[in-house]
Amino acid sequence: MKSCFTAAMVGASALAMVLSLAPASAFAQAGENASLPLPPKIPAPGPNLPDFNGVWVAPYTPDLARATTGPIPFTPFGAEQYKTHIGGDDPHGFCQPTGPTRAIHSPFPFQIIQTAGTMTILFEIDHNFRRIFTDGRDHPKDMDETWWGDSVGKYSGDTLTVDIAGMSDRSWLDTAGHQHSEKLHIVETWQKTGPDGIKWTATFEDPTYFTKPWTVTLPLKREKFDIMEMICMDNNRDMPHYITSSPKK
Amino acid sequence: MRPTFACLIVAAFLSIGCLPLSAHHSFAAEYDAKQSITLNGTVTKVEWMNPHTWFYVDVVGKDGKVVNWSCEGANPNALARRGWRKNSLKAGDKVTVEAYRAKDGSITVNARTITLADGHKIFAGSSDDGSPTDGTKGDTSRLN
Repeated sequence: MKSCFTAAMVGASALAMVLSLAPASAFAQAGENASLPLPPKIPAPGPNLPDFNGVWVAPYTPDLARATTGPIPFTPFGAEQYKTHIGGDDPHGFCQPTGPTRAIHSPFPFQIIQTAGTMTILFEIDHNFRRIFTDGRDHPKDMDETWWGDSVGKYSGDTLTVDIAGMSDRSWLDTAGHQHSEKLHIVETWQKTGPDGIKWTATFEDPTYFTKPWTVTLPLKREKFDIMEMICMDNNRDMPHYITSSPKK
Repeated sequence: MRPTFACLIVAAFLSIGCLPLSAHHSFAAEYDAKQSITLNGTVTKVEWMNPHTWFYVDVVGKDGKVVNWSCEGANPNALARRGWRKNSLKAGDKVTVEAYRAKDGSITVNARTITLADGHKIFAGSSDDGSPTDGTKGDTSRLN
């Protein structure tokens, strides 16, 4: 992993240097993507609120075990579920929703539109959205369980703390196959670390799967370009090839 | 200068190969990291579409028959942010594709690199978790 990261850093700087020497061809323009649209400007949400407006991107994290300290504290049931899961059963492979946190650490950026009572996230992945209500409300009583759950948040200084509840058990937390029950409860924090950075954390709590809460931490960076269209079911040619738990004809 | 330039391009793109480019399904759900394959042929069609680009390559087999291979590439938005355009790869281009075969035995591959006739080598990779970098083993280290 270390050599991979080093190689990536070397490669990235080498690429920048080398492309200035590249002969004219379609790929000579590789890296020169100045023609891509920039994000729209959104007014700041108001005084005394950290401004999260903009397009952001997390380091792609398909395995949450690599973004937390220590092993994931599985219950015996949770450990067995993880050990025996089949990658082809991933609901998102069939373009079903990611759920609120998996979309954040996908390899696609997202736009935050933040106003005084609501923070809305427009995900490039699947052209989907999520709303975090910051107008002081609590979760509705007797909510139906949904893929995205219900997010309510409170500001304190430079940090927004969000409570996410009401999620069904149908989504996967990540591509590696970490799953959860309908008892999942997530506390999420967004903290502005500078003009172009946000520290994002998510603490997962689910007594069916985990013996105690565990926290993932990731740095979000401001993305230069606007979000683009990404329709999961546009030309999805992978589905017939997945090896799943269902028998093939 | 030329060999150095080619080496740097290869190094740059192969290093970018450590970074997977798609979240919506895992590599291992569909592709076999132990079945690497190199295809030499001619591009017949390019689909610059979500969620993955696909390009099709006519390959002449040992028996002289032409087989059209389906090659999965990265998401077009990810490629665009790295400077590709929808016409960067075109029907008629002669290519060498380093790839991994689908587990179900179909003539479908997950493309890792494409080498064009002029020697440019491009990383086309897609999928994630477990997708090999150098072709010898799966790399599950994914935090940048």
